[in-house]
Amino acid sequence: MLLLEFYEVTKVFRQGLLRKGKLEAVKRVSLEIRSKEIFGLMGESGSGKSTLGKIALGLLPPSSGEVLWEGKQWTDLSPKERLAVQGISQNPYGVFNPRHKIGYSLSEPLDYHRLLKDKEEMSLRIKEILELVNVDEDSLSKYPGQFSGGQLQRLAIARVLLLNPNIIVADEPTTMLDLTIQAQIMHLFKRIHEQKGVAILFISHDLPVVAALAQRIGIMYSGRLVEIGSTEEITNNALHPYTRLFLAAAREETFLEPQSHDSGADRGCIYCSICDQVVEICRQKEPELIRVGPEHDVACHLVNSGGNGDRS
Amino acid sequence: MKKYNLIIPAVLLVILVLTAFFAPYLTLHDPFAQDLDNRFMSPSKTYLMGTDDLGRCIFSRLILGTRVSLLIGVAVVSINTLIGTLVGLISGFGHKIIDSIIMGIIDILLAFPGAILTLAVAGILGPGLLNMIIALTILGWVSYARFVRGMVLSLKEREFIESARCLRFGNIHILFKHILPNCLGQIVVLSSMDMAGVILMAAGLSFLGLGVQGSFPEWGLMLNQGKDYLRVTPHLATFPGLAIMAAALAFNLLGDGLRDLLQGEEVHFN
Repeated sequence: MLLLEFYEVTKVFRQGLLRKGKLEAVKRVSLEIRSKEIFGLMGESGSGKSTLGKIALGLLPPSSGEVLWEGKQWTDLSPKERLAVQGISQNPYGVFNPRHKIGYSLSEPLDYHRLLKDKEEMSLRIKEILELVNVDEDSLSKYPGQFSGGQLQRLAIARVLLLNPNIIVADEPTTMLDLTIQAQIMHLFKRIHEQKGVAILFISHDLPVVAALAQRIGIMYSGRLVEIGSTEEITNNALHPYTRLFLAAAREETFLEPQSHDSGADRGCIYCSICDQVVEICRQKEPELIRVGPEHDVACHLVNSGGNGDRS
Repeated sequence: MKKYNLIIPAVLLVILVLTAFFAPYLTLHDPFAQDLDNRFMSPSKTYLMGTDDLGRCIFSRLILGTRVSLLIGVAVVSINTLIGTLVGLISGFGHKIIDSIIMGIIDILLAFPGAILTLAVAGILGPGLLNMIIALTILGWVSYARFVRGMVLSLKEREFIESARCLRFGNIHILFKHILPNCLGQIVVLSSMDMAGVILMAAGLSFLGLGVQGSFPEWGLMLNQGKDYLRVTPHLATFPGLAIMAAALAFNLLGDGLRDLLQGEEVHFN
């Protein structure tokens, strides 16, 4: 079953007095998140992966294209159905209202949406979840300022889990934490995925982390989805030149530093200007995602033309 | 050090509030009783602050005047805070068009010289306690609205508001449970500072004959009645002046102290 579907989703931000400044944060991205999977969305800063995450959370409407949550449009979802999509942000220090105690912040959504009837059931559930995320119960009477980043991230995950979501959009949840804490949070994600069977859209630029967690990976570059496939395919058999560069950088292999050169055209492949394998068609036409394997799609002309992008 | 900043205003305030509360029990003489045989008496044991031009006990009148000044201050500041905060919340959180309209009105109101407009309104409405309160609130709320709007605009971008949206809370809930609690501290500081201004302005209006009138023991009015005898018997105007100063000082210091306290808190939270 498909939890979340993107069809040709584009998000354009306009700036300036006459709205002339135009930034295509996401351009014609199509992908789907399946039930109970972890999907890793990767890309460099500014590649549009966080924007896509916000669209998935219903926080930003797409400029064009269609997004479906379990087959429904956002406007057709009731507030309770919308609770099934939850997010974890990269800054755990900011997600809790500094004026409220953690106990209040955790029970607030349950109260507001009247998910549990009596107080006893609620405190039992909160206790249970706190145990799962491994945080002491006396945290409930503390303020967010009294916690470390790692603890706050656990609490943020706890608050989200209390709502029984079927998909969690985790936008670089470990970026602001130190390495040992990062590992703990990753394990926590793995554990809740196994125990709760929740699908996770994991947005990150950290390849080893994503490769260890995700079943499928999508690579974004400059707002476009350039390659998508199973983790195995992407890590062992990457076809797009950008994915290869990305993997090489992540593995700290030596790679040719990409040289920016004039692409000569603005309607061709977006990667044209730094790609080292440009052929004529790259400057003429934007590549579409092409299926190259059962679980592998690439947006590169070289794959289509049989060149296969093989690099000697 | 910060903790001690609040001691002086706290002591002053406690004295003021207790005085206002127990005013009828603290007066030594009937504040309204005229005694033409004992006019312009200097401070003595029977008349702690002397008597005025009609032989009324200045001390007793000051005591009762505390009630009037605090009442006006509290009434005006409460109304200002309430209206200003509400308008600011709506303006900052509402749609861009609503925000533009409200801010347009506020900018127009702010373009008036405040004191003159207050004087004009007080003049049109005529003297009296209620009219004075109306005159002081007509422009008073504007600065609150601007201030609160600014805070809402910056709070709106904070991460916990985005998470609140993810948790699918309604706008009203987000506004009153998440944004307002984060503004309250600053609003209290502003109110405290404003209180000082309102007490001064109220005394000023009464002094000019646009506020409370007649034999009512209002500090500004007493100042006005004493000013004619300033060279002969300066205590007639001095004591009311000192009372006004003490009240204004107390609220200003309170505002300063609270602000320092809040700043410390902000550091702690971020």
